[in-house]
Amino acid sequence: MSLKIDNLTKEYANTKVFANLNYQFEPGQIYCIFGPSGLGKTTFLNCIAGLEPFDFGSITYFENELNGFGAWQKFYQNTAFVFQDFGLWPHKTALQNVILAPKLQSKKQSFDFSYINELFSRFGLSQHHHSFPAFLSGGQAQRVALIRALAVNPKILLLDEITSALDRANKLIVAKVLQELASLKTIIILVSHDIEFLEMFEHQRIELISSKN
Amino acid sequence: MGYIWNFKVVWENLEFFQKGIYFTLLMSAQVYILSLLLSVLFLIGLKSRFQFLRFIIGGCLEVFRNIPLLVFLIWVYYALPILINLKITAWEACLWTFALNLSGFLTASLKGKLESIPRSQYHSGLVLGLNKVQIWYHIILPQVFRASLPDLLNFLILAIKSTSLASVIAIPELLYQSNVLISNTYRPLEVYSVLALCYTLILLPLSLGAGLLGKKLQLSTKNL
Repeated sequence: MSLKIDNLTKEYANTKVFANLNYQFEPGQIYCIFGPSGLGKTTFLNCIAGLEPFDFGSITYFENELNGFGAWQKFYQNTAFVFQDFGLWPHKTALQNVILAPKLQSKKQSFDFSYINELFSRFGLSQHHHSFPAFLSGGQAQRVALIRALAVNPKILLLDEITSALDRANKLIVAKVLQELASLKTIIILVSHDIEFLEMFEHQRIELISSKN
Repeated sequence: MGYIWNFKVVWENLEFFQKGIYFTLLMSAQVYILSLLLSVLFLIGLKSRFQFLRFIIGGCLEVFRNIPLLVFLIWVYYALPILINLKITAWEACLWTFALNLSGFLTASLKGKLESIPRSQYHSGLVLGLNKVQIWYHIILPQVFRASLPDLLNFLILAIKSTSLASVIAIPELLYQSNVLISNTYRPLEVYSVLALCYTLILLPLSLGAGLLGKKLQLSTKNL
């Protein structure tokens, strides 16, 4: 069930963003990608999610190499991603944002809201089910994006600067939720600069070092 | 100035205006629907993977937008049939000319709206396991449609206004009918005044509607 990265290399116009990265991400672990700004941490995360093409190397999940759109599409049944700018859909309410994907994926006629309601209340957003993203504060929007990612029960959770708009109390809640997810055998990969946040849970550090050539 | 207005000629010949309004609206509707369909096709072409196709369509749209509409119409009606040996009625010439011109603008507007949607909205749908059709149906198109509504109304106004040019090739729309009436009655001031009033009555509600709609949508969607 592990996610394996072999020789991953990404170039922009002959400048290597990163080169020959080899990692194996195991279920139940939280990985944090480290390194100074501009080194390609977000690019690396996007490459893992197949949202940006890479130049060399391969990504393998569950013994299947991810190549071609079909393989990625299948992979996406197990993933969720919280983007730096959240990527919420502005024409849908918070609740509609959250339930769209699980509703489309579940074949059942009736849909079980209890887990989603529980997530909303854990993140202190019970009052905001029907708010549009434009009317949420930055921190609220970020938590809605996280709830949306959790609602699909991902086996691989990719988080880009997930605490950028959160206060300490909320960071603690997020840290607790991530630990619970890890104990449920989820692979969590996050990009973060937030020392305070990273001290709240155990994680493996992945240091991206500059690869000037 | 001492001009004595005499609107009797208008009242006695109302059927001229009725016929004119009928054909103006009929042509506008056909032009509008055709240009909507064409815009969707052009938009798909512009988003295609094939650079050649994108280049060709982009070039054509640029031409459709930039030729003066009257010149375009005259060329399509008089020159094109000889060039490619094609029989074309005056109605068809108007329809295609106006629709191609309008779709040039419409496609550009839709493309702008489409590109203003941040990539991360598309990506978050993808990574959450939605397929392409679901992403377009649930996320992209509702936003494009909503953001385009005021523009779509404005383009309808443009379509209606452009049909007055059809009078030069004898389509019996409002302006042409007015000219016929003038040559029958020698009362241009009255007829042209009523003509202007007719266009105002048709277009003013649409224009006001587009303005209101724009304001309402601005209030309810503030982009993240």
